[in-house]
Formats: sequence, C-alpha cells, structure tokens
Amino acid sequence: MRILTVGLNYKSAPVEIREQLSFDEAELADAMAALQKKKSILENVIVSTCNRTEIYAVADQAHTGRYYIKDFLSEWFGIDKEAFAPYLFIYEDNEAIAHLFKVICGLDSMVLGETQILGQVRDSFLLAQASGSTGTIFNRLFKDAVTLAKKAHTETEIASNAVSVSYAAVELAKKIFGDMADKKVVIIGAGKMGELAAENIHGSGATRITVINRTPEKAGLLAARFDGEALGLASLETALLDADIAITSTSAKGYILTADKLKPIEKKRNGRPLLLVDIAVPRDIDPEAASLESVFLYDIDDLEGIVEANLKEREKAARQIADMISDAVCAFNEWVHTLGVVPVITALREKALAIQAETMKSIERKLPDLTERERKVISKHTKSIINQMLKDPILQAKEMAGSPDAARNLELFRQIFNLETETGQAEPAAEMARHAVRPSYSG
Amino acid sequence: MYAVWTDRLHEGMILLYAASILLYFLDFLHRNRKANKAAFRFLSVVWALQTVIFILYMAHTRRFPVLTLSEGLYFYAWALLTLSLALNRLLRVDFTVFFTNVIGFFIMTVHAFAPEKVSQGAGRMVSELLLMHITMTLIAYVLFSLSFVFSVLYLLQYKWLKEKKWSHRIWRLNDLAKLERLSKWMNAIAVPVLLLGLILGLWWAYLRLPAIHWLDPKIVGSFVVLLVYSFLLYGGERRHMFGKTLAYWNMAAFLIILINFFLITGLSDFHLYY
Repeated sequence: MRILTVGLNYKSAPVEIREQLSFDEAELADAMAALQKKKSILENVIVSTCNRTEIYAVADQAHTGRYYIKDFLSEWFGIDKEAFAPYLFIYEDNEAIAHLFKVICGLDSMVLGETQILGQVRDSFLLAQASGSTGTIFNRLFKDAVTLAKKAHTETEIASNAVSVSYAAVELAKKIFGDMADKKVVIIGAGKMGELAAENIHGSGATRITVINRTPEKAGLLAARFDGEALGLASLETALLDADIAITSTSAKGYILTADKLKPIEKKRNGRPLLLVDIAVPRDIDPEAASLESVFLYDIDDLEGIVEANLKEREKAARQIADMISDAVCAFNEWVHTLGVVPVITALREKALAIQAETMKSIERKLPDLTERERKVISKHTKSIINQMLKDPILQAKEMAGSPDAARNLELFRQIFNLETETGQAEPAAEMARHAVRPSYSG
Repeated sequence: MYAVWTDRLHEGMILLYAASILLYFLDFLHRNRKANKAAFRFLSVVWALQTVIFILYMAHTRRFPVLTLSEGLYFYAWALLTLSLALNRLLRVDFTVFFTNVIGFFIMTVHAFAPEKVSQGAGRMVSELLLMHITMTLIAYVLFSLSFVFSVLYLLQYKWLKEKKWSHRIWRLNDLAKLERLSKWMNAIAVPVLLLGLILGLWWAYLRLPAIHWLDPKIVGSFVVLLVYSFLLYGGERRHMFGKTLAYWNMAAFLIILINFFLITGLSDFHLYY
C-alpha cells in the first residue's frame, strides 16, 4: 500500500499546461469517482486551484498507481500523456505526505504562507469524502493536515502581516486609525494606480472616498464606483482638512504637496493624524512633510520595505513549520504502524504474485513453443487478473484496520487467505519506509 | 511559623515574577510565542501567590492591610497585576502586561524595603473611612499607572511608525487610536475614583483630627495630581491636546504621582501612615 502525489503546479508547469489540466469545480466529484474506478487506486483526493492540480492517492503499488493516475489525467482531459508528463512531479510515501503538509500550510504557495489553500484542500477532501473516494488512510491524513495547518497559522507568524504593497498601505492605515469604517480617504490621481488604491482601501472597510484628479470628469468616473465624491485638483487642500488618509498617484513632475502647504492644514486639523501614502514615481509629496508631528508619510520604497520585512518573518516561520511537518509525518507513520494492515496486504500481494509466477512456469512447461512476446502478454494478463482480484480485498482490509474490531477482522482476513503473517508482527510501515526518506525541508 | 511560610511564599513569588518579566522581555525582543505563553502562566501563578499572601496577611492582622507604606505598595502591586491580567483577557493589547508588570515588579521590590510598622498613635485612629480613602486612592493610582503604560506604548508605536521601523513589534502593538483611547479611559475612571478617595480622606480628617492641615504637602500634592489629571482629561476630550503631546503630558502627570507617593509623603506631618 503506497501513498502517492502526482501533480503539477506553478513551479513545475507554465500556465498554458496548467490551464489544460485544471479540473472544473463542478466536475471534481465525478473526477474523483472516475479515478477511484481505476485499477490500483484505493483512495484519492484531487486538489485543483489556479496554481496547482494535484492528485493524492493511496495505491496498492507505486508503479501501477503512477501509471493509472497519468492514464486518468490523459483520458479526463483528452491530452496525450507525453504532452504533460514532463511537467509532472511525483512524490511517494513520506515525501507525498510531507508535500501535502507543505501545501496545506502555504509553504508551497506562490505567496508564502497564504491561507486560502487550507480551505481549498479541506474542501477537496470533504468532497472526496462525500463522494466515497477516501477511506481510513486519507480520512486520517487529511484531518492531520488540516490540524497541522491551523496550528501553523496560530503558533507561527506564517500568515501574519502584509506581503503585497497595496495591502501594506492598508495595514499602515490600520496601525494609525484602527477601524477604517468612518475614515475619510482622498485618492489623488484617477489613473490605474489610483484605481487599485481605491479598490484596496474600499475593500478594507473605508466607505468615505473622495477622488481628486486634474480632470474632474475622470475623477467622477472612479468616484462613482465607490459612491464617492469627485473633485478637481484645486480642491486638494480643502479636501485634506477633514481627510484621514490620502493616497497620491499622479503623473505630476514635481511635488503637489509640500511641507509648507501642509503646515497650515495640519494646524487647522487640530492634531488629527493624517496618513499620506505616495505611490507615485516621481513622488507627489515632498519628503520634508514627514517632519510634521501629526503627518505620517510613506512612499513606494517604504511600502516595499514593509513587504520585505514581513516576507523575512514568514521565511523564519516557514523554517519552524518545516520542523512541525517532520514531526507530523512521523506521527502519521506511527499511526499507520498501529493499524497493522500493511504486513497483511504485503503478504496477500506476495502470495498472489507467487501463484502467478508458479502459473507462468506451468504454462511455459506445457506450451514450450511460446514466443517471448506471447509469454510477456500472458504474464501481463495474469498479473492484471491478480491485481483486479486483489483490489477489493485490499480495500476492505484497509478499511477493516480502521474499524473498532480491527484486530479480530484482520485475523479473520488472514485466516481466509491463509496468510503467513501475524497482525502487528512485521514492521507495518516498513513498505512505505523502504521507499522513502524522512523529509527535511528547509522552508 | 506564619512569618517563615509567608517569607518563603514571598521569595518564590518574587523569583517567578522576575522569570515572567524576563520571558516577556524575550518575547518583546524576538517574537516568541512559547516565551509569551510561559510568561503569562508564571504571572498567573504570581497573582495567585500574591493573593494568598495578601489573604494570609489580612487574616493575621485582622484588618484590610493598606495602612503602612509596605502594605500600600503591596496592595498597589497586587491591584496592578490583577488589572493587567484582566485587561489582557478583555482587550488583548500586546505588551501591556509586560510594561505594566515592569512597574509592578519594581513596586514589589520597593515594598521589600519599605517600613512595615504603623506609626505610634496611629492605630487608634484607624476607621473604615480611612481604609476606604487609602484603598480608593491606591486604585486610582493603579488606573493612572495603566494610563501611563498606554501612553508609553503610544509613544513607542508613534516612534516606530514615524521612523519606519518595520519589525514584528509594530504589527503586534495596537493602533495609535486605540492606545490613546485606552489611556484616556483609564484616566476618565481614575479621576473620579481619586476625587472620591480624597473626599473620604478629608471627611476622616474632619471627624478624627482637631483641625485639617490644608497646606500639608501631602494634601497639596494629592490635589495637584487631581487637578493635573482633570486638566488632561478636559484637554483630551476637547481636543486641545492629542496624540504625542497628550501622551507626553500623561507621562509627566504620572511622574507627579510618583513624587507625591514617595517623596512628599515624607514631608507630611499630618499623614501618620504613609
């Protein structure tokens, strides 16, 4: 019994390939049910987002599992295997488990530590569970993964603080004013940058938005999107009198706001703090304005400085989580060990393959004139019969191991198939351990 | 036997208190959730030990123990710790517990060297009115201390935001608006408590003393404290003072409290207790 991850993501495949192998959300349950019907696949969960398509599977054998997953992808998307195979990554056993943990904690995401992936993986798992494509192993593994991700989010700084320039500006505003709901925001410049700034600040809860632009008509168009007010550039100083936040992004060649212009405004504002975010290049606001007591001035470099500092914090947290992942992989393996099902399945497969080998010898004795090709075809088909015959018993044995009467059921299973192993006698996770090394991620 | 037990408890409490503050400091320097959790647990044990010692002492003396300087400081430190733990639970303002308990720990160490005996002749003048006067004044001082802590945090956050120091601290510490609001709230509660405390003190003096010494340094000092904080409260509400200026004034006002508490008391020939 092997755990596999076969997939592609933004690191392994370009968007042209990813978009061809992306599952439609509405079809995901059907896809998992279809994959479940494939030979060798005992359990599966498909995670499909804009950045990744990953198939997690429990298979009776690694090589057949890999083969049938690729086969499924090819059939489902109607693409030749050769077209996407070079972009696939395949992880087995401990590496597959560690990869799942890494993905769900956001360590494999484009934006390190993003939390959306936790919900996406959890939803895929719940869908798989509802459609009957998970069993004892994945029910446990994915629950462990969700628990680990929640722990990583609460016990480390992985998901804390802004890692984009636009969000950094919002974070700064919140550090000065707290609640944004009643804050008046002035957007100076109605270009693309101004539009983005207005969207972000509106998204953070600010509802009183005024747009100021050299051409008031353009300001009006943008302001209308946020039920805001539109003014011409001549009204800038008046607008700043009762503003809390001003974001500038004009294409002016010189400063539109200087310390001298701001001094009388500051005086009239009676000390209320004023946050000025200058995202224009060249800058719109004279840096001297930062010397005014109640003015907090930040330019694009400052915002990038915040992002850089926060990313460093996230990288530090990622190293902590890597240790947590190693521990979680060990804990999962210990749990598999307690099931005692792995040696039973191994013994069953070995016995079946021994029968197939004996049968092949007998055929060769009785039909000595068989060509090499004929011999291979017969061998392949007899093995196929065995694999198909064993899929259900293996699936049942695995589920029995998770039931309350596991020991008695597995003993019965052993007796039915006359297997020469005792439950829990052999190293149960040995098969998985033989094929994988303990992961040691560095974040 | 009682003295031996309380001494051991007290020593254990002080050691745990120091450990807790060190752990909080570690968390302040380099974000460390484990240190923060351990520090909070230690502090909870310190609070429990302080409460036990306080109750044992109360049972031993058969009165509410706030009469000597040592007792007053102990009650002040206990109330400060109690409020800081409650605020931590209710408001979740990072670093408040740490900064508040730096003051608390300092007071605890001062308490160890403060005189314990009640002045001669004072015992017969103790009444419920006096105990309420002292207790309410101390509670007002605890609230002013918390207000001071919020002002310190405000100035730290202001400095980091102005100087663009993008460390974990800036994101952990609350926003300027909240810190200013909390500082004002503490003062808004403390001023009427102090006013009531002083009225009760005057009432006690009127009933028990032959004459009220209006120019006694302690009375003058206490009313100066009341006036300064009332002025701050008014200035803050009417927006004559705000932000950084208000925080600096609030810190200066707390300095007046310290002077009144530790220095002016010694000059008073009217306050028999401390």
